[in-house]
Amino acid sequence: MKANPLRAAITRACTDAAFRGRLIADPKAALAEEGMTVPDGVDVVVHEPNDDALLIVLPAQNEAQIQAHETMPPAGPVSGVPAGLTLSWCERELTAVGRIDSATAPALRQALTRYFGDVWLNLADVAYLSSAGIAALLAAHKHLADHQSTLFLVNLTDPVRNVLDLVGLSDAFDILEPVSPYIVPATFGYPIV
Amino acid sequence: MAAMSFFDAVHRLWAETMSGFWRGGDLGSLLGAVGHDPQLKQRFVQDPGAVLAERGVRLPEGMTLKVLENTATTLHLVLPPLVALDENTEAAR
Repeated sequence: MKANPLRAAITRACTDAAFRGRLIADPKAALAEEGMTVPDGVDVVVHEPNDDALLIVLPAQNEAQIQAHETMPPAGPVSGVPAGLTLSWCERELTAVGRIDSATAPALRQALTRYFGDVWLNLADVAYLSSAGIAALLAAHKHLADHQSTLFLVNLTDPVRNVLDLVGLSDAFDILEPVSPYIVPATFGYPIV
Repeated sequence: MAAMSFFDAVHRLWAETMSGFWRGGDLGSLLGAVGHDPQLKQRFVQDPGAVLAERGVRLPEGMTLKVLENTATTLHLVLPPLVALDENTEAAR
């Protein structure tokens, strides 16, 4: 599992006042404590929340993501998926529900390799992933990587996580760990309801 | 385990945060759209209130919104509020 040192630093700054002070005063030195080396030429600016103002931080301009707009997946269910699995797009998130096995894996692979741009594959309701399913995920991972994009796997169930661990592929995929809603403001200021 | 590069960590921070937002309705769709629409992004940075209004996203009463943009040379980090866990934490302030 890949641990994100930036996330670790933000989480620590929520409870460790001394570290928080160092992070604000000298972000690069404090991030180094968490194992994050900030490249030369990059400035880190740390903002503290304010009760009346929301802060949203947007990612840097990314040509690959802009081009990906040309191939935005249409929102809603993906058609032609065999029984046992349903796939549905919402913005850049593809939600899979059911089993990813030899019957359904080709449809998943096709859905994930038709487009490019970062994709979040939500596996919260997938409890079975066969070797054909793993092959489909690897193909999608490579397709997106070839287009300067990333396949993020989110909300893995224990059976799916165990399968990826067993075949030694947990580190090959970008698996996102659930983030506490409390920590989310690290990117968005306060959540907007 | 290889250390995560700075730019990977920044990308992942965004990805982790967005993973809870795609189904967040109007805001999720707005944040998705600014990722691939540079003109919308520029307007969102310059006049966030107007873009929110267009999209029907409402802020809590009395709140203002400020939008920051990371660049190749500047990373903005926003800290959640400090939680006082115990007296030691308080004393350390």
